[in-house]
Amino acid sequence: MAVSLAQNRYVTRVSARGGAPAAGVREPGSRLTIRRVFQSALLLLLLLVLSLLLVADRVRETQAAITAAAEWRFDSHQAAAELRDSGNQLTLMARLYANTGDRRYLGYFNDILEIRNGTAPRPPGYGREYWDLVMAGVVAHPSGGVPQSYVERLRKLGFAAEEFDLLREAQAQSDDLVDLERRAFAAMEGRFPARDGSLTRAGPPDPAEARRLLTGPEYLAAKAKVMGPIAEFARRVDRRTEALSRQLAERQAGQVALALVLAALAALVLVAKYAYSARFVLEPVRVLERQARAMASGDYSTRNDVTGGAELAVLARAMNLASGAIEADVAARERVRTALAEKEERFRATFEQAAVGIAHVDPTGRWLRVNNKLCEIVGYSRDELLARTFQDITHPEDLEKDLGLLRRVLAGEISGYAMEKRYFRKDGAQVWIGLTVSLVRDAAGAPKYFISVVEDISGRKRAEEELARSNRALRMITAVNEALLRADTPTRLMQEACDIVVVTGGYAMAWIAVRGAGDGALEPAAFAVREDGGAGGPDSTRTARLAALPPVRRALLGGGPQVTRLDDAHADRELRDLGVRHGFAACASLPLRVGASVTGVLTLYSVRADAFDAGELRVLSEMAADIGIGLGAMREHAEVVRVNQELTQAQAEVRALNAGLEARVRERTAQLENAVKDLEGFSYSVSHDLRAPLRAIDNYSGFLLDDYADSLDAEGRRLLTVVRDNTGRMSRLIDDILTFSRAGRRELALVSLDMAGLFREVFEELRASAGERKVELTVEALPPACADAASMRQVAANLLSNAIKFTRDRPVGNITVRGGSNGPEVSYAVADNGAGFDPRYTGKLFGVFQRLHGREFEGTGIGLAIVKRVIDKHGGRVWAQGALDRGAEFHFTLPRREPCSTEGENQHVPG
Amino acid sequence: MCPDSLCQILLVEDNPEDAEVTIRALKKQNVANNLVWVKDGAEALDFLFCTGDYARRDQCPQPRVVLLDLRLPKLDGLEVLERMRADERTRLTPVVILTSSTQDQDKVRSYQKGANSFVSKPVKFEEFARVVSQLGMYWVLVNKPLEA
Repeated sequence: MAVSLAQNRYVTRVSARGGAPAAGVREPGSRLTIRRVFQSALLLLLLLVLSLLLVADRVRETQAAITAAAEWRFDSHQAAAELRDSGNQLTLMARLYANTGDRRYLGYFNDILEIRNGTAPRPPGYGREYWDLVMAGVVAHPSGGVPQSYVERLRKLGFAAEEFDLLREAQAQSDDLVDLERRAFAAMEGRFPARDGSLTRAGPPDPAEARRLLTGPEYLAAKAKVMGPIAEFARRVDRRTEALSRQLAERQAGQVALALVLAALAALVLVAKYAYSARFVLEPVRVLERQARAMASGDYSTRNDVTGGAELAVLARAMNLASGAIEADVAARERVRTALAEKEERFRATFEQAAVGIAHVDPTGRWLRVNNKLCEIVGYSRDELLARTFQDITHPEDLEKDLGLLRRVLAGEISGYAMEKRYFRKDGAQVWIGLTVSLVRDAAGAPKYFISVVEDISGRKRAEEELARSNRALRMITAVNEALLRADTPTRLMQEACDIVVVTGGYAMAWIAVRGAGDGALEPAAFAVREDGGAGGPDSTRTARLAALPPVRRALLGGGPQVTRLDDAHADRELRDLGVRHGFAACASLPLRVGASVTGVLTLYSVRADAFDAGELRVLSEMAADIGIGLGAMREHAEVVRVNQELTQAQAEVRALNAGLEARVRERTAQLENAVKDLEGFSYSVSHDLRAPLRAIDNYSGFLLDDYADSLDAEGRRLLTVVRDNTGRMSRLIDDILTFSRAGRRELALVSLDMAGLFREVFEELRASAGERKVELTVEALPPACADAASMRQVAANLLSNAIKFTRDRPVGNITVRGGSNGPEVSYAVADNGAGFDPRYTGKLFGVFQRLHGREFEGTGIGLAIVKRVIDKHGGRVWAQGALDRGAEFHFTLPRREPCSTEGENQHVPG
Repeated sequence: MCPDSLCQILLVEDNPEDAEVTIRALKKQNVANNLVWVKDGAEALDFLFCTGDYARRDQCPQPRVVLLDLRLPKLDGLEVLERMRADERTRLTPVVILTSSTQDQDKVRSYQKGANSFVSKPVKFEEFARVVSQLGMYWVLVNKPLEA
């Protein structure tokens, strides 16, 4: 293919890192695919070959036709020649007869005619030479065969009509010739033409005449006339058969040309296919190969822009995608590698600059990698450290625990651990560290190395120790204080104090000496020593001796706490000996004060030289002070015990008395509760049972008045009316008594009440009882009350109905309700201009059944009693003012309650 | 009095005078024709549940109203009420407590146990007659009972 790849739109060069394919690329679905091209080419070739085969078959057929035509032409020429030859042979036979007079030739003459006319059998191989061979005696005549006329043969050969016409013309022209021959034959037999033309005239045979007839110009002319159409016939046949042959030859030539064209086309298709392969397959493959090679050599930036040939384009895009993906992957790996490197760098920096020690340690304990801080903590150089194992520098007491944990990590039981332990620095000092260990395993899970993070916690440890010590001191002082409360004798207190100092305080030894009763010299009082101290049991003589030591004396004489370092050269010799013997390093003597005087000394020994620093001494002094207070308290204890005993006895008596009282109260309460129950039952009976007979009396009286009014005279009716009046009074009386009884028992539901509204409402309900009389109510501004609504309604009703009742004799009844607030109370007053009362009997107004008026004012005498009871129950007061005939004024107060509430225990009673 | 099965009013009252007064007042309103009077709580329940003496009562239809006194021999009124309300047949039967009591606690307990009405018997003849007639009028003539 000579087309430049660069210019071809289907196949383009490999471009270096072009990325996007060239614009104008056709989509794969819309163009020829390699497969389709190859299929099409194959199909085309197949068609061409088929056509070629068809054409070849035609050529073969045409060739057969040509051959047939040639044969036919040959036959036709032979037939034409036979006619001519048979004419010549007839002439020959006739002349031979005439010359020889041999009748055999005449027979031949006739045979020739008969064979030609089909009346005699035609010998096989009958032709020009036949008669020559017969005359030469080579062939016996006749030699069999099948009769076949000449014309019939011609017809079989398919001669045309005009050719037959020529033959017929020749036939017609042969008459003269035949006539001459007949005359010649007749002359040979002695017959001659008569006048009428028939050969009937007899004469002697005249062979000369016969010969003249057959060779004369007349015969030749006749013969020529015959031979003319025969020659024409031969020409015609020749022409016709030649035309057919030519036509066939031309056809064959056309077919051969077509075959050539087809072959050329097939070749062209093959060439085209090759060209396509070269352009659309081989070149892209080469491009892709180059790309693959580039990729193989690590260049992933190469992109192809192959677009021709759909399958290859797909492959090409896949290659591009692969390249892109690999390139991205490579880039990502590169980034990861860079990041890793950065991380590594950061790690290294972190590792080295960390504020804590970090190390990698192999599973046997050898340091693999250590950072500066670790070196700093342990005081070794890096190289020195790397030459050691951690076991080398770990405090033996901590090693076992560390190794144990390490084994558990290696066994996979735990993933890591943290502990506190001690290293020995290079200079021999020990350093407390916080260790955090985790294990790194390789991909197969085998341990690679430990990561140890080491933190110097010496400072914290010191603080902890300090804290522990102060805790210990505080525990000590607390324990001593508890002992103070617990101990009942000074001796026990001092012994407990010594024990506490040793057991809780951690001191090696402690003793207390107090002034004796006599000369005031110190006497041993308590002693304690740590079991491992080796100081032996209490030894009063030794203690006494120790008590004489200078620091003890100084303390006793009010010199405050005395601290002595036993390794101090200035220390007392005995003290130094003690220190050496028992390993004591320091001691302190503390005065025990009761009140203002020092009564004893507490001395403590410690194995630590620096045990008695200022802080410790402060705590110890406080403890000593507490012990002193305890000792002082002990002295007063006996007195206190005595007083307590008296007090206890008195309390017991009071309790006995109280118990008796409570029993009596319970008894009384039960009695009262029973009484209340009885009372309730009683009032219920009153309510129900007393009413029933009363109702019967009234109703039956009513029946009488209803049904027997006619039978009764006026007096009878009056008497019945009196009965009924009294049943009414009795009924009211029962109601009032019940109300009164209830008023005392009722549970109050306290709510905020609009008293003015209440009075007005009640007044409207009662107005009817005033009949047509004029009664006016004036309600001034009233403070709200916090009271039980039903009870207050009762109070209002009773006071207002009283006022209405006692103003009966007034032309206009005036009732005024006033109220006001007065400190913790609210007060209300109902005043009227009625009959009033004698103030002398004010005290009786509120009594049950107390009436200051006779029958002229109806009433049960319970109304005001109910009012008093209700107000009392509310915690208020009630009183009355008035004078006979000058009206009355009833006052009541209620406690102010804010906020107003029923306070739970009061049950609301409906109705 | 009426055949037991046609009872419209069941009067439960131990006091014969009260019963007479009540029946008399109802008669005046012509609503006492189908009234049955029983004298204690047990008999009332026998009637309502068709047991004991009333076992042969046809089909056991419920009265249109039960006038029930509280203080009764054997079973008191509140117990009767309780038993009625616990039984499906009488759960919705109207019950009017007709009692001498004016006590709040009686009223409260009656309503709590499902009384439809609470009436204190007035002492005065005229009032008693008026109250009872009104009761009869209302429950027998005005009020529409649940169809059985």
